[in-house]
Amino acid sequence: MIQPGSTRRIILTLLLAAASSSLGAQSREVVEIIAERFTFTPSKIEVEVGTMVEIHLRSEDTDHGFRLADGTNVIIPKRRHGEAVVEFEAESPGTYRFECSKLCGAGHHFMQGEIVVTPRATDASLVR
Amino acid sequence: MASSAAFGRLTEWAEGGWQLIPRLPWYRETPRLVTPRPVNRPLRAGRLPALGETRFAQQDPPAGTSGSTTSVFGGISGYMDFHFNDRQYEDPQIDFHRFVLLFTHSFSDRVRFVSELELEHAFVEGLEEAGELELEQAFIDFLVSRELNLRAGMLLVPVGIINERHEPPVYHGVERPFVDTVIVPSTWFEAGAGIHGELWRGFRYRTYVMAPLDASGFDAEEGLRGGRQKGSQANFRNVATTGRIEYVGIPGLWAGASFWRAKTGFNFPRVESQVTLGEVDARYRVGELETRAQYAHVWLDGMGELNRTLQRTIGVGPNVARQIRGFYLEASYFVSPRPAPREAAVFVRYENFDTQYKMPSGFSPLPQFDRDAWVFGLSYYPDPDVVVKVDYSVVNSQSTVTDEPNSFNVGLGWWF
Repeated sequence: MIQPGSTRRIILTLLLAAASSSLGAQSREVVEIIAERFTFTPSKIEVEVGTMVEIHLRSEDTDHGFRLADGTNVIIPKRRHGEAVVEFEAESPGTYRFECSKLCGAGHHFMQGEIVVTPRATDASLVR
Repeated sequence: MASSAAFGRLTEWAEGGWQLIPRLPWYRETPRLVTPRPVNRPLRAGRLPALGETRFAQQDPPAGTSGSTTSVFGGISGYMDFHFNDRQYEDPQIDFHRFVLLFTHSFSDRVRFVSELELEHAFVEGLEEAGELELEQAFIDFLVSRELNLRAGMLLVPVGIINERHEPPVYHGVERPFVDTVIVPSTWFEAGAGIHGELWRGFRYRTYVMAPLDASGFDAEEGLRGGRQKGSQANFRNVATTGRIEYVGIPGLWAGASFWRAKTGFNFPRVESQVTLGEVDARYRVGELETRAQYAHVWLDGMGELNRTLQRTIGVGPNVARQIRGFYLEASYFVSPRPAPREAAVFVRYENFDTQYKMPSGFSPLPQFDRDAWVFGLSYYPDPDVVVKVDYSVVNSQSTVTDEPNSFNVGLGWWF
């Protein structure tokens, strides 16, 4: 039997749980990047600050590398030899370069891209 | 069934399942994946650096430097191309066609050097048919921003699919497409300088000023090919402008358009001649199917006067056309069993190319140079960077007198 006032307590608990879960929620973005001599597709990624970013890297030809400005550096295996996955939190707004870190031919130096971390829409509206 | 067994056998060999030679004491086996295996785990969990930390094109370098001052040798890369050609009416030939080494160096994050040195036909005697040592690329890139970068030195002309990406594993067929040989004279390289970058997502451009073509080298059979100055003490009285815009924003799709324009008659000051080339191309890959298409058209002004001048000067008129054009369509399909990191693709390509398409007034076209070709064959990749190619070319012309030779070709190419 439900005691008097219990219904109110249950509803309050559910509301608090929902609120805390929405406050703590972190958006997650999964991106697939294809590496091929001599380009990354896509070569520009935009995410909001605070997003957990999971990048799946797959090659259409030879081994490539994926180096981020913070020192993250992984090998993207050759075509049909699997994929590399890089995961990070986009902590601060800004534009961050990534590039191929394994010599792959004459156009190797031009395999570059950018991750653009933008302020949250709510933050941006507060600034305005 | 037999072909499947043979393929399996080749795959087994490529995996190291059986050895061509016994293992020597100093032999070290390289670990490798036996089957494609997704690595569905984070290889690194980290955070992007905060603003102000090392970043490209966002942070001004210290005064007097160009970003990082660390000078790094980029290493050696290269590709090789080894052919067997059996052309109708001729003895078969075996030829180490290309031995190419690439050297790169990063003076800093923003100043980088790339070079490509090519030895053709394994022996240098002085003419292209006998052998050539060519400096196909040697340039410095000054990386300023994503949208705008500077480049100067020996550059590949940014025209067509093959000219800038001509390594054996990236195209089907032992020899390059005919259109990329007699209409777009690949490998086409000249000294010059220019800018390049990515304007919007997936839209990239390159535009250069370069040494022009030399019209005295043009001919009826191979069009512009003999006019390349190859950056060797090149006449620069007339400046060529060239450029390419391409879209690579959708996985599997590459689409581009290119142009070249220059006056070319510097060896004959009284002849007003000019070359204008326009080209469009596309590659699209979906699943196991890949398609390619390219169309190139060249307008040559002043060729009537050039033909007459050469006739008077050397006694032979080259019969250069006022327009030449060519196109090809190619489809390939990967037939590899899955799962397997080894691959095989069958392909067929139709080419149509005419180096006498429109003639100057007073000159008749030579019909043997209005040609088309069917090329079909197989590319087997024991590794994505190694390819064994087999093809057969059927070439026809509009001539009722001469017969274009068909050919059976086998090639081995690799890239590292």
